[in-house]
Amino acid sequence: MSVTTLTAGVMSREDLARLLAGPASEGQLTAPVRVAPEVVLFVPVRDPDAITLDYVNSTVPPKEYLFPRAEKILGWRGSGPQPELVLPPEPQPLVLFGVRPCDLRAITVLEPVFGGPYPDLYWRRRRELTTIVGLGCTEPGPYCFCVAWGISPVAAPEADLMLTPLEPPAAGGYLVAVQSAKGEELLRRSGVGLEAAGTEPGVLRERRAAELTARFRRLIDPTGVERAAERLFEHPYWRELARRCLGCGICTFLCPTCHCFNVIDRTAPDGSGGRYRCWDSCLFERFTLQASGHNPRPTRAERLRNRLLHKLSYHRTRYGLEGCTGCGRCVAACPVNIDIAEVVADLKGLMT
Amino acid sequence: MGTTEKIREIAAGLLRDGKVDVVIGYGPGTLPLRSTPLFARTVEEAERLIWDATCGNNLAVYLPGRKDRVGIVVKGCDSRAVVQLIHENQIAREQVFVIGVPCAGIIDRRQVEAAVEREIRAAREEGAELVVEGDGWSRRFNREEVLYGACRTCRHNNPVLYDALAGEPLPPRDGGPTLVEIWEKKPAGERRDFILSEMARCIRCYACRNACPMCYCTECFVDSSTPRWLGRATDAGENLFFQIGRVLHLAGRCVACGACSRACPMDIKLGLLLGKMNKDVLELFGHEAGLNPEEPPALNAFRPDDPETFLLGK
Ligand code: SF4
Ligand code: SF4
Ligand code: SF4
Repeated sequence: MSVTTLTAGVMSREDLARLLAGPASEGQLTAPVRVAPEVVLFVPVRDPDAITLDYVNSTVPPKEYLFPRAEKILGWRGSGPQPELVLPPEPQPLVLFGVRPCDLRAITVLEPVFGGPYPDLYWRRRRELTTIVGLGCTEPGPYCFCVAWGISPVAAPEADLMLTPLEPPAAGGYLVAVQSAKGEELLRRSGVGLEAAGTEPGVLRERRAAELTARFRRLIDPTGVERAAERLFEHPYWRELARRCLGCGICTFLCPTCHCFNVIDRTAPDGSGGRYRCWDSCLFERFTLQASGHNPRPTRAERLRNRLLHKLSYHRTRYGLEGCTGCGRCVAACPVNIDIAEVVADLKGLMT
Repeated sequence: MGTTEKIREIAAGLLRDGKVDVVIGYGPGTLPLRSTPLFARTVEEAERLIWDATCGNNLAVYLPGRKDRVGIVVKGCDSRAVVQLIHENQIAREQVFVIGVPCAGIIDRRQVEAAVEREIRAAREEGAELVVEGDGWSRRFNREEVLYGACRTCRHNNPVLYDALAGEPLPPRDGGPTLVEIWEKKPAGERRDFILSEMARCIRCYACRNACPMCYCTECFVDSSTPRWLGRATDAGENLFFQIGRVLHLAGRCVACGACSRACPMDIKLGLLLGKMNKDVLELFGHEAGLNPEEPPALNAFRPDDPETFLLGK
């Protein structure tokens, strides 16, 4: 995906508050907030001062604003053969501020799933209504390895406005790239003017990307790992790896590119209720349990293999896109230290 | 001889003599401040076992339903889970060889990571300090201050059951007031609001359940679809219902190892709910789970004079 930059220029750190003031006062702003000492989440924000800028990445990816954890897709009132259908509330316009490049890439990764030949109405609608302000990184976090997937830690084409901090910590202001009409509109309404960058913006951004990329130490080379699906599908490696796996859903629920869901109905005693689309996880035993009682992925070995090969191979085979963005969340949160970067190295080792 | 060497020696001996089929212990993790469960089945694999202040997992979670003979490395809290699992017939005493490790507390890596917010390249203990290093920086933490909350007030740091001890018993911690004791004094409204705000964060990944050595039901009530007790709408009410169900199912069984809170990616203070329930069980029945291999669990034993205040509301 090539970056379409309509305009680019520099804004100061004070201008950031001005940029966000409008959407905040209209109740449309969602931004990272430290909600507990070790948890940063994207939450609706009315006061831009509540935003935390001092974070590596959010604990749960902002994906949930395009693909909510539980989304009501229809409701009904009354029971009997002809209940009255109730449409779910329409999603509202949203400004999503502070999305990191790995999570921006994840939108591209999910686009063919939800926006392909049979576009998903709910995703589409939210995509249209959401203006995304990307925020480049200033430090590799303890678990980050986005650069292994060729992602620039300071820029991404998916954002409507992309902010690249000019000097760490962002005191030096931001290089702002306007990348869509929605981005242009947000900037225009805020009244923030961009100043010309001393250096050509593209060059400036490349330079920041190179500086930061050089500081990553979690270096893996995933080239060719997708062949593991063919060559190592039956390898005892998976059983060995899965001995440790607890079969929880952390790695899937925190992944910006995981997108499996289940549809459940919730009915109140009076017969009214709603149908919800809820995140599901391929690590759960019941994910593939069939009504007959047969389970094609009977143990954690098959389930863990599925998740990892989906990230490292299937997504790429199907859509030509890497399924992992190196955000490191699954590595950070897996209680037993199953580490997808190590899995990449292991699989490549087994194939040489 | 350090604890790591001692564990390796015991494990290698067990495997060499064919006394066990596997030794479950800790191996080096992929990053600083991390370790990972290690299943050693050969003398060579036993050489990779380690012990340090990052060995937080409660490995007893891998015991229920096993058919093989197993050696297992346990801390004080973990040993209580082994005792409780034997009580509950999830594993036979003859099947397990318990390698006990006196524990000086486990480092809360998330607390350290949140404090530095940068790539960590190395971490090591130096006496009472934890030294963390990155690209051109280094930071020292008071080790005691970055331990898990449950470790700081741990009263059972020495294993209660073992076949071999890797290391000298440590003096018990004085403990001090636990989080529950502090928290119980707050007004009811404040406690309710806090619990609900914690629950609102839950994403129902079920890591708390799956990391818990005592949560071994083959069908968990949250997964049941006939009847469906619980939806997946993940609002605070449903999440609280899940946690209350889990806590009640653990009455008299929770060994207070903290595995659930440690696993939780959302830093939800599950220890408060479980700690409160453990305290009630202790006050009512004078029983703490997994402490005494001879004494049956509180809810397995009936005495005509068992307190019933919670039934009669008096
Ligand atoms: S987070 Fe770790 S333990 Fe949980 S399902 Fe994923 S790999 Fe298994
Ligand atoms: S697989 Fe792990 S590292 Fe890769 S995008 Fe998903 S959560 Fe991030
Ligand atoms: S581990 Fe935490 S987030 Fe996951 S289900 Fe348990 S309480 Fe909820």
